[in-house]
Amino acid sequence: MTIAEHELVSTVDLPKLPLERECPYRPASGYGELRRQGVTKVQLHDGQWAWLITGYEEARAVLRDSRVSSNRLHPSFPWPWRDAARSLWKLRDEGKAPVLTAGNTLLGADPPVHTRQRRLLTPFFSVKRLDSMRPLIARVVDDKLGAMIRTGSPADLLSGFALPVSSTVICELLGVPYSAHRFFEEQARLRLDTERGADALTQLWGYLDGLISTKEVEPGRGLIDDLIAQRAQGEKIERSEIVAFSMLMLIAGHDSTANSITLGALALIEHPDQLARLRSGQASLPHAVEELLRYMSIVDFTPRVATADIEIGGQVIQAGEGLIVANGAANHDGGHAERSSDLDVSRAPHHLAFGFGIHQCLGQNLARVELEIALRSLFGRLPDLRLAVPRERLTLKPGPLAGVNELPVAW
Amino acid sequence: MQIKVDTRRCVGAGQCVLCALGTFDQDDNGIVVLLRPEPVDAAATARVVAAADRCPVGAITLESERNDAVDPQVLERAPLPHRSGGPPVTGE
Repeated sequence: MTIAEHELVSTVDLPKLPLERECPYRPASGYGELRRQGVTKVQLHDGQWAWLITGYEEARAVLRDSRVSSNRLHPSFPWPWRDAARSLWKLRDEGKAPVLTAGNTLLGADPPVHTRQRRLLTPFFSVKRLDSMRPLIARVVDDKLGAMIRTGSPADLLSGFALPVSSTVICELLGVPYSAHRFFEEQARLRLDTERGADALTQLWGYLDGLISTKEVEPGRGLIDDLIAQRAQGEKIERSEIVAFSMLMLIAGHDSTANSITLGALALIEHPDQLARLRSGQASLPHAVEELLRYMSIVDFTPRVATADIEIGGQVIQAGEGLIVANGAANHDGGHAERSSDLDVSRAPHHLAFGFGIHQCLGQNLARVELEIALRSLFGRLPDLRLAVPRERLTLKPGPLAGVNELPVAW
Repeated sequence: MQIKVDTRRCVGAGQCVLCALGTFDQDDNGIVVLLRPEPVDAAATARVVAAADRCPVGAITLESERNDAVDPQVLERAPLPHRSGGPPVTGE
């Protein structure tokens, strides 16, 4: 990895990213101090530096700005997380080009490629389409909750409920057989490992490539089948793009939602006054979900590279420099949301938990519906749900999505 | 107030639909459809303003009919008071 001239800056004295969460379901408190410093430089794990944007208004402006690129292969693309970066460089060194393309599809694409790719997928994630999935999601939630209850208290809420729910739902939407869930959940978990990450992504690519070949001969039902059919009818879409979309949605669709359900449940367990307001009908669950999304901000960062000079918060970010929007910090900006460090389920504030701009999370409305139904059923059927271990025993999951490794609960 | 939507900018996020159900919808491709070009009352106006704010790509624009509209181009189109040459209103 070459170091460009503008990166030959002493990074030793800069604040170092990422800051570790003191509480699993809210961003590290240290971002408050960084926000007071305005748009400022930070140091990354590999010695590179990047601009950090922590204010709410600045974050919105940058994410909407067309002068930023999402290209993960740009030499200045900032990686706040050690493991993910290592996996990708290893893939590039091994010449595993197709899998590398996956990392740069949709999420890592810029207009006009991004525009075409996004348009292929938006029909599947409209509010109406996802509302029509509510009965299915409700059945899956009740089914998995029943199974967890039958195994007996205590149980791990993540592996016993949240993960089975989110994996089953995304499998149903995509048309991936749920029987493969242990395999893809494991590969998704390993993708962040410095040693095994590249291999995990290659395995997952191979599996989905094979699944698509099967579906080309024996069509099934789901988003992947729809894309295969569209391609056969002449729609402009590469076969490798179908594999890449599948990989992106499979990982994002199960991992992030499972963490959100788990952390959301923990946040409500630890805020019994807020839970009481929900039970009494004082606050509505959709509002509570929105506030939880803001509060938790499970995606702490959105990295970008400037493609032209950008003036933001009194600083000039030069073309070619890396910048990171700190979504969690922005969501806790007291200038935007009053008492931002309080969890208040009666409000439905605007927030950047799903990002902003052209890359705003494609699956956000699916996440909202799943969260709402999962939390309603969970606290409805298990009103005295509580932690089964001392709080200090909870360990944080490393990587780009906030989460805990397990959440032992009792009822 | 006149609402305008830019279907080319739209990325199908659907936040406008969640904010202001009677005003916005999505077509079969997930792209915004404007159901009502004008909000019916103050509550609807508030929801529409929120929807425009929450659109991740700025595909919703609002044009006010009042003379103190935000967009200078709209100001030029809006009729000035007393064009007919009547007596000035005190305080102007």
